[in-house]
Amino acid sequence: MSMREVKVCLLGEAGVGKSSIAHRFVMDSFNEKQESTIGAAFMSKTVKYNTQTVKFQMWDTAGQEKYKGLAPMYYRGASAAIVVYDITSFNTYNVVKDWVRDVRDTCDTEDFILIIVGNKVDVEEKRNVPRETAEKYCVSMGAHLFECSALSGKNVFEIFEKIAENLPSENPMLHHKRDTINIRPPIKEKKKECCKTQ
Amino acid sequence: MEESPAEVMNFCIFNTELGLKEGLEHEKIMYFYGLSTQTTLKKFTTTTTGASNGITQLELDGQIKQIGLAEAMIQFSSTFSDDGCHFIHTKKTRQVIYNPEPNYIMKLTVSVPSLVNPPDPGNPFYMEDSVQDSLLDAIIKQSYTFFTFFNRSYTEIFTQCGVEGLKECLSDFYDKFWSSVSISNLSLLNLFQGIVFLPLGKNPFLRVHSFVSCIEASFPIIKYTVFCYSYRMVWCSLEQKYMRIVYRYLTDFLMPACFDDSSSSYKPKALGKMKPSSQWGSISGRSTSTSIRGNMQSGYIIGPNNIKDIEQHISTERVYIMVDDCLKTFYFVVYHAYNITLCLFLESEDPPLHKFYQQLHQCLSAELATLAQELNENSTSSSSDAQYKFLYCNNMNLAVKSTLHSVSYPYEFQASNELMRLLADMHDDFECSKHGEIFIRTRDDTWVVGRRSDQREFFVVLYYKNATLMNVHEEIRKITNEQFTNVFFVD
Amino acid sequence: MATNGPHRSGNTNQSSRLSRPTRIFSKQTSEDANNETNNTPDKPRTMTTALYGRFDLEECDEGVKINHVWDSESGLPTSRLINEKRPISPSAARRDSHWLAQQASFSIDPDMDSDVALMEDILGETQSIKHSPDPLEEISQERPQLDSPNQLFPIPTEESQEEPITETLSSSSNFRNIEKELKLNKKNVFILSESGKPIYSRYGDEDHAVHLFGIMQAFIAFVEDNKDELLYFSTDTHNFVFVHKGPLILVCIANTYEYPDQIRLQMNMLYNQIISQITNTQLNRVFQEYRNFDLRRWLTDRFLSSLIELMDEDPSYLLQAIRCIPMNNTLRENINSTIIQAGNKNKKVLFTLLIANTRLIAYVRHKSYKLGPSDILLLFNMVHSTTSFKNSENWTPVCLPDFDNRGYMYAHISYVNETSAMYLILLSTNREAFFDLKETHTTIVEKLNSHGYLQKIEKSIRYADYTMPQIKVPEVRHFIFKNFRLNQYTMPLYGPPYVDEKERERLYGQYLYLNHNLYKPTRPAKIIYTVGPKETLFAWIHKEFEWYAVFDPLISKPSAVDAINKLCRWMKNTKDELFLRPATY
Repeated sequence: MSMREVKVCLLGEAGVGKSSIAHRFVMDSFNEKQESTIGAAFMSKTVKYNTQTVKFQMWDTAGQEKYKGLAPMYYRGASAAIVVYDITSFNTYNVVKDWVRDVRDTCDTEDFILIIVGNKVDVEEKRNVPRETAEKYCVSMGAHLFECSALSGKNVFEIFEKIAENLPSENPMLHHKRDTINIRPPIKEKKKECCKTQ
Repeated sequence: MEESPAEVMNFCIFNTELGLKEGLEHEKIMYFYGLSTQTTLKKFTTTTTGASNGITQLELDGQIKQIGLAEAMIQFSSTFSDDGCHFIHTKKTRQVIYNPEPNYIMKLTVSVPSLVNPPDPGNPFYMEDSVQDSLLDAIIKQSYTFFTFFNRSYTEIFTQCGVEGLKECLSDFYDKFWSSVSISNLSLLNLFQGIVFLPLGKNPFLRVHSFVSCIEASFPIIKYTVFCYSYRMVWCSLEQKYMRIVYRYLTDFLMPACFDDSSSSYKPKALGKMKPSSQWGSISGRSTSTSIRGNMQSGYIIGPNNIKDIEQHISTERVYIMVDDCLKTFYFVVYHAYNITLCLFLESEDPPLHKFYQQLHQCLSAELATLAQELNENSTSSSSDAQYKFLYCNNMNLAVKSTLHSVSYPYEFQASNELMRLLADMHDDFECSKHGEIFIRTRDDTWVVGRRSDQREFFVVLYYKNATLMNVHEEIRKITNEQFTNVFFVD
Repeated sequence: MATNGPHRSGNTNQSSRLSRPTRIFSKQTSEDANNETNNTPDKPRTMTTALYGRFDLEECDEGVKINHVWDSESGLPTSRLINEKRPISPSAARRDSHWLAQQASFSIDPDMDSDVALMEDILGETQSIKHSPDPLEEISQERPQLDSPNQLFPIPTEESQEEPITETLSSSSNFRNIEKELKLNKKNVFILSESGKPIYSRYGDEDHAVHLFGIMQAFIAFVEDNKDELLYFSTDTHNFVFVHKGPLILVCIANTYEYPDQIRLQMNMLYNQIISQITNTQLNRVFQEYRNFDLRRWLTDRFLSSLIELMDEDPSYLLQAIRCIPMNNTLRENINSTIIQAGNKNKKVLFTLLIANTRLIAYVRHKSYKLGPSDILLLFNMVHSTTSFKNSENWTPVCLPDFDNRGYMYAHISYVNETSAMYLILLSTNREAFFDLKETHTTIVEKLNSHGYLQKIEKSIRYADYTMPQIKVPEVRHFIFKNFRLNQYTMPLYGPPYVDEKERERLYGQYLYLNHNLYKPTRPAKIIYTVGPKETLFAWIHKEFEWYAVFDPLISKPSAVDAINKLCRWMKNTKDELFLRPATY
């Protein structure tokens, strides 16, 4: 069985729930008092998708403005970006466009998977961003839209399934090279071919 | 390295109830001493200026700003603290604020001494801890106590004489006060405001007592008498509070001004201009009593200059003393002969006549000569070759004994300035932390020990090289036994 | 390395930082009087009224004036600045503020977008400058080249996003509530910009205490106008300590045992914690260009609040020393060699620190570089302040001011496992080195684990604390011993009677008293022995160490001296366990 490594970065305004989504996906847990990310956090999780094993390596970036300058480093080598907004705050949705523009500027490949996620559907009653608005935008950008709740877990795993599903067929050469690296004893996280992107 | 000493930069008294309208802030100023320019710290050479006469708008603005800042800080601090702002530390200045009466605020600004490093003269090192808050607090409070002793409270003067009357009183008094205070010469003695008593045997003491009784009987107008010998207190019939004021006034201000012998290395800068007689009272402008030169002569320090000159106008000094909860006024006369200083408080509606002065003089000059002789024989001089110096103060009877200061004015320190400051630090610690005993070994290996028990404080500076804590402990025990056989310290 | 783009370097040189802070005292100079823009243009306001007005809480109007004052300092939308490309002269600022005040609303300038684009152009140039070469190839240099800050944090472009100032006005009753609250706090800390803009308040929302910030700024400005510097003022219970450093003003209002000089040290630590987030270069530059910049957008408040809390009771900050986990020397050597081996593989690690909570377990440094205790303490605080480093590997830029306040290092911060309090910080100057450091981290943890060291360390952490009876000097109730050469200190657990928090606080106050007396600038002490009502205190400074100890109040001097000697012997015998020696790559 083959193992694929997929680099994903989570982007979006501060406080929309990027870390919560990541924690929900990686540990299936939710922390009421999730504190804002400092710099960027790196997490990984291996899941099975159909016949493949996919190892997600995620950059959970800080949304705070002061770390914005760091973001391009995390895009590099990424196969997918998840841009998150908070459905209860229209402002966070507006900022999505900036992030998408940034991502497109840096990772404009055909295979790049762009997913836009509206978080906090558990407080539907406070919704400020209509699904239709986001949907229209996503279609125009060729992005996938999910509305999820890191709190309840609703739709979180689906996001990553979507990424797995949309992964381009692998380049056999490259894949081979990766495999050889991956055979090494099961270290929790392995070195990625980061240098290639430099 | 050159050290510039701490000096009074300015002093002001203002009334917070006045000048409330914008543009009229200058009405707050009751008194201002010193220059206030926008570039403060420029050494002021000019004499003092009153708040209202002949100053430029720029100066006035400077004064208003000084007051504004103080008031702002008082207000601001009340947001956080129940008491008002007391001390302000800036790199180059120290300010102390005192609120003696409702609506009246006194503020003293002193320059912080700096060390100029010759290679880098533009960047002096300011020795913040060389100016001690508690000493400034003591001097500003003393200035107020003296003022009320000679003039009553600000409020009373304001009520009776109006703003201008108050301004005049303040100006008369404080101009002289601040020009003769030397900030760098303040020490522990100023904190205690204590009294050095002359140690006397029973017989000479009874002699003084009977002398005073005799004088008071001969001149019933004399209500109280204070008798000092060679800067030391022998007899006082005033209550303790006033004894302290009179004693400190005599020793810190009056006698130094009279007997400023040029041999002393230290001279307060303004003293040359001072008028020894009557310089603290409400009435100014009297000339030096030239008859008194050296301590052996006799005559009035406050009273007629020349007893033989009958035509002479005698200006008088009045003081205010609480007697049975009632403020009474007395005429204040000081007479000096043969190292004896006699302060007399006369209860009288009218100023004493020339005849009175003459009779008193005759009576005193005869008696005092023999009395002085007797006291001289009886007072023992303490040896000062010991390897230690000490200061003892009993806050109950205000008695002070010190070999850390010279016996008479200008009380030169017998230890380094740093050590003197360290002693004042220790006193502050005793005041606020209830510590009973402090041993400190300085970086240059001098031991300084402070002890407090009940109301007594005892400080010793020991110059033993390489002494250990245990050595010093033993030594202190010995000194205590030597010097204070009858005083017990809890060990 | 050039950190400025060509456009802005011209700007920064000319703009004056604290150009005329005294402007609020409008009557100060004739120039100022002419430039009066206040509500009463033809009637100059004196400094006093300016200040008095501010205190009048009954008059809400005055609050508005204050804000106008700030306005006039520099409340300019970015777009205008960029277009005109000129330094902010006071009079121009005033004109602009006037213009601003006339705007009915403070909504975003419609021209904003194009200006942002222009701004990005400028930034594009600076960003195209390549980052520094690998530091390890340049050991001959005194310091490694660090990333310049503006590569990371572009100068903000949305200055006009600032909330409309009118919103910050609170009703006068709100003022009073805030003030009631402030009085209850033992220690308030405020940080503001030179122009009086609130940046941080330890308690409550700084926007609600906006008038207080204005006054604090006025105090600083007033004193500095006399070519002097405000240090502190005090009431009988409180100290109001002011530190004006760089473009920031830090104010601490404390009713604690701390002496003003000690609070000053704390404020400097706080300043450094700010620098650690944005570098000194960046801090100065942003305020040179935008005097009214809202720094809050760049700061993580939690770092500051956590640091203030730690400094309240942790002697590390007072002593500027690190506390270690005691352990035997062999284990230490094993840990060090594990770290060195892993680090030598890729040579990108400059420093590695193994830490449990806020105590150091191991420290390996590059042989040419050193970290000072204050930088290490900032790192401790950074991790201590947040839970967000748990459960993930983290990569963050950090500036270590003592090491180099101009640029960033990059920290890989990660716990050794989910359950442990132990974490590794690996520092590199290469911002792309995450995966290298990640690998180093993994290797270290793996090796430590496979050799059983991890377990041994965990055990050492469990037994890290010792009590006085354990070391058999029962006469001593508590002590703190600082090793000067290693900048480390050790102390036992607080035993009776210091188990109660109030008593412990009081004891700490006694240490503060001793420390203050040991370090008085013009009359420092070497030995202090003080008998108080509740304890006997001892302090001793020596070229190798600094020592504080507390005894029973009734102890005799011979027994105290005896106990100190006993403690000396114990210290000598156990110093290798108590203190760690840094190893080098």
